[in-house]
Amino acid sequence: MAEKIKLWDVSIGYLNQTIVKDVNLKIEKGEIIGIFGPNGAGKTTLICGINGVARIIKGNVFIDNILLTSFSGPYLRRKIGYVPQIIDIDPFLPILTEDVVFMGLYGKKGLFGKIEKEDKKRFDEIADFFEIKNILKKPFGLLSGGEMRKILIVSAFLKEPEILLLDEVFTFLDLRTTKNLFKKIKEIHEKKNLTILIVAHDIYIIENLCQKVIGMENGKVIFYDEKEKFLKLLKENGNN
Amino acid sequence: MEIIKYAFFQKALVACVLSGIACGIIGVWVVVMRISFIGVSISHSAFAGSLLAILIKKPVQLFSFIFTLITSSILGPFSDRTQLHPETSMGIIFSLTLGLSFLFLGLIPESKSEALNYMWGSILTVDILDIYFLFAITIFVFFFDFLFFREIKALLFNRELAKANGFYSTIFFYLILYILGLSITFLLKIVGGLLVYALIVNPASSAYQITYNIKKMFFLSVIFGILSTISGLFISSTLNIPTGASIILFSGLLFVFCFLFSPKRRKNEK
Repeated sequence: MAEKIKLWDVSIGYLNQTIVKDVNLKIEKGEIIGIFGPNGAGKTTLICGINGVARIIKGNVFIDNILLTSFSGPYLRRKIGYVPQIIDIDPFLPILTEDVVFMGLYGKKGLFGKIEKEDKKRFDEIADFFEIKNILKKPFGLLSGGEMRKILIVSAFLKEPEILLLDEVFTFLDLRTTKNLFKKIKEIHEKKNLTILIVAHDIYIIENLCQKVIGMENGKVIFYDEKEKFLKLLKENGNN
Repeated sequence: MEIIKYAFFQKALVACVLSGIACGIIGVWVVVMRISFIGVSISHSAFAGSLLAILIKKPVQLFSFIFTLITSSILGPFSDRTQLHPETSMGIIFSLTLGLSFLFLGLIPESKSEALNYMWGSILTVDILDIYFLFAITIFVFFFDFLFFREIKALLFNRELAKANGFYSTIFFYLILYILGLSITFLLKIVGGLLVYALIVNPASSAYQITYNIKKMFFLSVIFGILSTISGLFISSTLNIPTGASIILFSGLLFVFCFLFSPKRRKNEK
């Protein structure tokens, strides 16, 4: 299998603070990987290091064997769909929900890239699937937490990424949307052989969606192996 | 209305319309991205640059622009939330630029009237060259906003997500800061170094109270910008009071009106 993401002796952080330390990882194309760990373990920072939104303090990140730098960053990020854990939005923000939905796709298309008929068709399909058409004309800042999350998920899917980074994406979602998202992740993974990293607190997601698990604690990767081994270890340690 | 017949007043009216358009567009960038403090620091540095130019007898606009370039290049990284906390650093740069302005003002040996023009503005003395520059910068700002609307919209929404989605967010952020500096350079003469920033922020903040649609916000901000400058000009000529101050006070009152009757606030209160 081809190597999709490689982190070589990487430390990641914000401001002048290192949060994730000395990470070495190789992720193959088509793998679904769960990132598991207590609060403050560095899970979000790790995925923000992979797409270069956080600061790479030390080491190298490679996507498709291309080194992530400030020059290659915009090109590489066009292959990556990202759904953040939280987003700080002013309720008065003059941006409509439909603008946000297409932002991922516009980013991928680059300067002056046009939306094709194919894109519109795909949008209709995904928008119907996630039942978002009734909120497209609403201001994004006035949506509920769950609706915002749904829109950001649709925006990431619409981009047709090769890598999907999902940060606690099931939080705030109602049962129906959770089921739909589960189904959609499995479906596009099978169809497009997507590489997916999911930050998860829920062991159910690890059990039912992931193939491998990255276990984190205090900014360090302390486990990276098959899901079965992780679940066995978890059982032996009484879920701690 | 006799005054409209005079060429100097007609030039002032053209300058009002052009600066209203430019400030209206730039104001939306500044207000929605919440980089007001950077804008104030840039406008004060433009003022400091113009005073230094007067002191050493060099081209005012060139020095003013160089100062804004330096300030933008220093403040850009500070404002990047992933790098450093901005408040303290910006506070220091803001006070430094203001301190420099008053130092240069104090050092100017002869009459300070030219320097004071850049402090309070003197729209009635704009010449045809000023109008050409203002026209060029207004056209530039308009086409920049029009051509890169998607990129600007993504930046205004959330800089981190714009970056994650593959936009050239850093390049566009710096371009916006430099264009802000360039525009302020040519607007100094109209409303002055101490007031130019209010003309950028007030019309856009008023439009922010009215609409959730970013296209409409740009449109309203431009309308409010033109309305403020033209009304300020007529009020000042009628009451014989300083034009810069009239423009800013009018735009401030317009904001209070929009704030009090904001449909957004009423909707939220419900």
